Amino acid sequence: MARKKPQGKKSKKAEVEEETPDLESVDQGENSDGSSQYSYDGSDGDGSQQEDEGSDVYVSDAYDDDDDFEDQGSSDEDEELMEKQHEDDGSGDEMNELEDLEQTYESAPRKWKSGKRSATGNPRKGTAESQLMHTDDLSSDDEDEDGTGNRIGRVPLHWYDDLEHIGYDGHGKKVAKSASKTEGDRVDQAIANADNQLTGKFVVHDALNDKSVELTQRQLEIIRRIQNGAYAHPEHDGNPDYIDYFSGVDPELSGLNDNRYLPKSKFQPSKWEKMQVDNLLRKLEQGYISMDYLTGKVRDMNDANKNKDPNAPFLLWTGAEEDELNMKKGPQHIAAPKVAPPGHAESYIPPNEYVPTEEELKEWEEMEPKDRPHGLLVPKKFPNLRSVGAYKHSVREAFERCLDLYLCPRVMKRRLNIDPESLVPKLPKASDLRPFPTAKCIEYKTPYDGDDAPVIRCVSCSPNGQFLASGASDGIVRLWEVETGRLLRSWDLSKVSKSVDPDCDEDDDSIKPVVSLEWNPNAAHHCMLAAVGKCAILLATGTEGVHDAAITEALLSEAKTGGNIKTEKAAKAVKWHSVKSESKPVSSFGLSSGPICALLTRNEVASLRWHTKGDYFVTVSPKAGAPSVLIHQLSKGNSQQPFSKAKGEAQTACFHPSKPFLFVATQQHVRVYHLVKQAMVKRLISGCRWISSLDVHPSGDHLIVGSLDRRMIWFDLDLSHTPFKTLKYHERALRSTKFHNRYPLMASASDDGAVHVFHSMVYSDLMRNPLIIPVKILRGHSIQKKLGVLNLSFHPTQPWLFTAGADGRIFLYQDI
Amino acid sequence: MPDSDSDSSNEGFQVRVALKLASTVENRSLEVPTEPIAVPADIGRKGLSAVVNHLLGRSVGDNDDSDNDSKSDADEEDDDKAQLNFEFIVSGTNNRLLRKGVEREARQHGISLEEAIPITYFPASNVPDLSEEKEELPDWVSSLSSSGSLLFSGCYDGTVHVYRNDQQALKEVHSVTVSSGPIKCLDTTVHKDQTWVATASLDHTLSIHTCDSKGKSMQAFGECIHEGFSCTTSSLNFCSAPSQLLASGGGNGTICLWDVTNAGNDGTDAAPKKRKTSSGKKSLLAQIRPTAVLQSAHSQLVSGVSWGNHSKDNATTLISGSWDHSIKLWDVERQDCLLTLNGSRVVACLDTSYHSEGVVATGHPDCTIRLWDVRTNQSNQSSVVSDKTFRPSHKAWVSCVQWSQTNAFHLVSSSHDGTVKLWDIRSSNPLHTVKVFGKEEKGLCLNYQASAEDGPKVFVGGSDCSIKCISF
Repeated sequence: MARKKPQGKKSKKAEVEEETPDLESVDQGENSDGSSQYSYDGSDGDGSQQEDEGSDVYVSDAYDDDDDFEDQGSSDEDEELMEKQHEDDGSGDEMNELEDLEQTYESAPRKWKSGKRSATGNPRKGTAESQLMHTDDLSSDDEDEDGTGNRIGRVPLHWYDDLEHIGYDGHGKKVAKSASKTEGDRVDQAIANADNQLTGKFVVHDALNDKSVELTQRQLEIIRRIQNGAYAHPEHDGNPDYIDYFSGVDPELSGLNDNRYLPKSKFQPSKWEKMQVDNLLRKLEQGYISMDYLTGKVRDMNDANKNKDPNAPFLLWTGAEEDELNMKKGPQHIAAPKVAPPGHAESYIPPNEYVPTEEELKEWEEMEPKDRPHGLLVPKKFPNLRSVGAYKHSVREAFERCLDLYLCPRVMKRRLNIDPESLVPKLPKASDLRPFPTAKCIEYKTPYDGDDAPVIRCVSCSPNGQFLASGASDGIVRLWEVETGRLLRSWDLSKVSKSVDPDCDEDDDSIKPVVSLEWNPNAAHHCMLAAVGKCAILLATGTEGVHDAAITEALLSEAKTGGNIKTEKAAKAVKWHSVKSESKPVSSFGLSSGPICALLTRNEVASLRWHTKGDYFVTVSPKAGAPSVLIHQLSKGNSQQPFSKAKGEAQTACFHPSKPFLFVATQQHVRVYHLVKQAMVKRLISGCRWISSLDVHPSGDHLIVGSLDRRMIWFDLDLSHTPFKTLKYHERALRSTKFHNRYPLMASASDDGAVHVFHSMVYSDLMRNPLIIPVKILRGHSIQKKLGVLNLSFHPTQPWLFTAGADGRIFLYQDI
Repeated sequence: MPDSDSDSSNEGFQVRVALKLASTVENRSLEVPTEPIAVPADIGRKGLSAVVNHLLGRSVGDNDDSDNDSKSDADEEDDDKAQLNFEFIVSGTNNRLLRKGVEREARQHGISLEEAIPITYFPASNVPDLSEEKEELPDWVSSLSSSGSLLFSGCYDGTVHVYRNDQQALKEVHSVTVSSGPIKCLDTTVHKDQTWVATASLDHTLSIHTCDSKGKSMQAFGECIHEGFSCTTSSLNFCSAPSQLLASGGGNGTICLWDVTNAGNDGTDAAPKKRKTSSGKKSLLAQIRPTAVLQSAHSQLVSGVSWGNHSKDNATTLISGSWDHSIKLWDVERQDCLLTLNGSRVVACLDTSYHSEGVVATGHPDCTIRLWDVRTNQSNQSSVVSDKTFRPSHKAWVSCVQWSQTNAFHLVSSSHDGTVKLWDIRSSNPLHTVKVFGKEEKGLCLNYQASAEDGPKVFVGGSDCSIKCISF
């Protein structure tokens, strides 16, 4: 072999470093032979061709029996050498097959020389540095114990190519090149290789020492194992049998280790906790809670909001809130209840009043111990402390206390600390909601004979606001001037009613009260309606001017002639009787004044209402059965009976101001009928027991209902068939509820003698709820025979209110 | 009467005041030396009055102050040296009458107490005297108007009663039934030696009557007819000479102007002709058509109309107040609204000042009298109601308010509470209150008569069916 080996490993290392990318391994799987053995070329190539190769150990597949091979102990170096040898072989003639093999080696990734391999057998990437280190680690100088080996270190071997020696040994003597190698030629090498193959030897050439080393079977096995990625040493057992050292309890049988494998959920974060944390974070962002609340500094956010003072001093360097949170973990400590301190009864000389008499003792014995005044203790006087014996109940009491502490669950009672004021919604001040009626201004004095003033049952104001009509229990409708309180006219309708009614005797002295009264809401129609007995009586007020006279006359012409009812059914239910009256009109242009026509129904008329336009009106006679609700048209003198069957006892009825709807209130419900479609649209459930009055907001979308069980109920017709709000302010039954036509006002009159005025703002924005605020309680009427204020009526243009009382007085309340 | 020095020694703290008689007072004998004198700091109107009386040497030995206020007025004419009451105005206090102590008044207006405080004084108005006599009428008295020595009263039974105002007592001269309904308002003017009486009734009629200067005979002259005018006339006001335009405010917000006195002279339209009235009787009456109609001048009842200036000859502006809470100023010739002032309350009655143009007083149902500035020539239009001028002193609806013809600062008001109050616009409280009517009787109208020799008189009518006289 012509190769010259440089002395010194350092140079070798450097060489290796340079050559690292080209380092190749012998991979068994890649072997083109398919044999499990390494193919090799045991012969050395021409040394001059391989001078640049650093590590010159050749691994030969042939089993060479050459003795001049030494075990290098470093597999890396072996492989490098082997590789080198392959190259040499490639240059040679005989080993074509090996050349092919080498090509395959070249193409395959063979980085396993880094010293480690993955379990799959693929070579692992490694740096040249680590490879060298590894080489160093594994190459041991101890093999050269006598110091005869080459000790040149890692210097390039070709430095010694021209010299006779290949280096120096441990004693400084030259190591001579082996003659056989230097002298031998390729023929010899080929022969030797062939021999080795035959004998199954594996010979490697140690270029450093210029020797051929024959690898032992063990070394080959190690190489093979390393190549396979197994433990290098054959004697190492990678998978020893499990020795169960724990001998106490059989885990399978005992069940202690039953679920050896924890479920997946144990390792995953809790979704529930995440939701809670998210929830808290959301609240925190929105400001419902603060960090103080989360860390437990504040127990109740209501307190926190109340006590928050923006100018209060604060600690600049706090921020260890997490620490405090950690400190407050766990259930809160609940102190045990304290034992009551001993009293006089426990004294050994209790005062005499504590010492029980014999009767008391007997009484105590019959009682349960806990009901006794001193429990088990019986106070007793002792002459001195010395004579006080052991307390016989001490053990029992201690035991009971222990039981109490142990068994009785104690909970920290979180007192709900809510300021009651904060629950009340913020309402605007009443003074900001002016104007509304506040003070009694004018009294309309009803003249009467005898002691008792007639009960004023109803009032109504003319549409222009100058006249007021009142109906009293003496059957007289009176016409007043609003401004001065002057009585202008009075018409006795009781007589009219009786004269019309065929059932009434002429001698009957009973007086029919005017139950209901309403002025025609149309300003051009100067007439009004009064309900007296079984009649609804139409009165001409005689207040019209030049123009209105003609309009009113045209309107009333049919009524004056007695009406012409078209349908038979309605004709049975109601009859129009024209009435003559000699009353002089207030106005010189007025053509008629006083009762004109009486509409006789089958039973007592309780309520009547005009339609806003002043042509139609509805009368309600609750006890009349099916024809209890009748709709009349004044201009045509016609009557209609809209319902063929009575659904409950109708109490009052009312027209929608703009749409063809009719609201009919029975005792507990309000039904809404569509008059054109002739169908029920809605049934409003009031929740009260007896509806007494009904009024529709001028917008037509809201309804108020007064009931005899003290409630005023507000319905939002767009919202629901149940009450939007139920107001229960009065102490007695409600008699009348009304909306103001122009101002956002409503009022309720009650038998408790008071009138409640509310600010009732309705917004055109459908999203905003109506604003209902009580603004004033008007008192002034006295209660007579359990009747208070029986009716009220707003002034059509001013925020003024007329009230009619059972004490016979009519008041005008103004905004002052 | 202790002198000022002894007063000051008692009280401790004093201020110096310089008293000066107001220049408008004709009786210069009331003048006192203008040298500053020291008075107690908390001295009020009565104390200063006593000081002035003392300086004038008017003290009457046995009369003390409080007596003086109430009783001694009757003696004033007899005794030239009787004590007088004075009103004081501390200069620099916005022309307000002194009602509190001098010191408080001065401090409130930031007047230095170091120097002598100049105070103007003038004799106070006399304590009004309600005469015992009263003229009974058949029904409520709704309106009163005077022309010369005649007093016309409209009644709720539709009659007009004419009284001659002689010396002390009223004497009924004539009465005539004017309308079928209650008379709501009445106004008079003098033209061509005749007194023209316009009456508006609740029965929608507005009729004109003429009356000779003696008041002996009263004849129907005509009826004002306006087709669209279909509501009750609620207010009337004659313009003074020479145009004699009648303004009427209606219940539906219309204001009409009628050239009543010239109606007989020009045009065929207003010529007397036979007309069948609604009541069926035939009458020879002039049918007067309105010269101008301010249709829907207000949205509600016009409760008061008044010509803008009583004094000037040719009235061109009209002021109207209404139940729709507003006061409007109208240019009559252009028939145009010059100014609208919106208040918060119903205007119940209205009167314009005789002396200062553009000052309007209104009475309201909320017991208050308000002053308005309706001048339009100001650059800023913020001339609004001065709500704070008067405190609500009445107890009920203020039914009538009228300015004094003689005193630019005074006005009288009547109310449904049955009282008549004399107000000075320099003080927020009334000067005097006279309880004219009994309980639950309403005062409905009043008439201020200045011309009488024996001082101004106020005639008051109301729901107790009588006319009462208060002399000031």
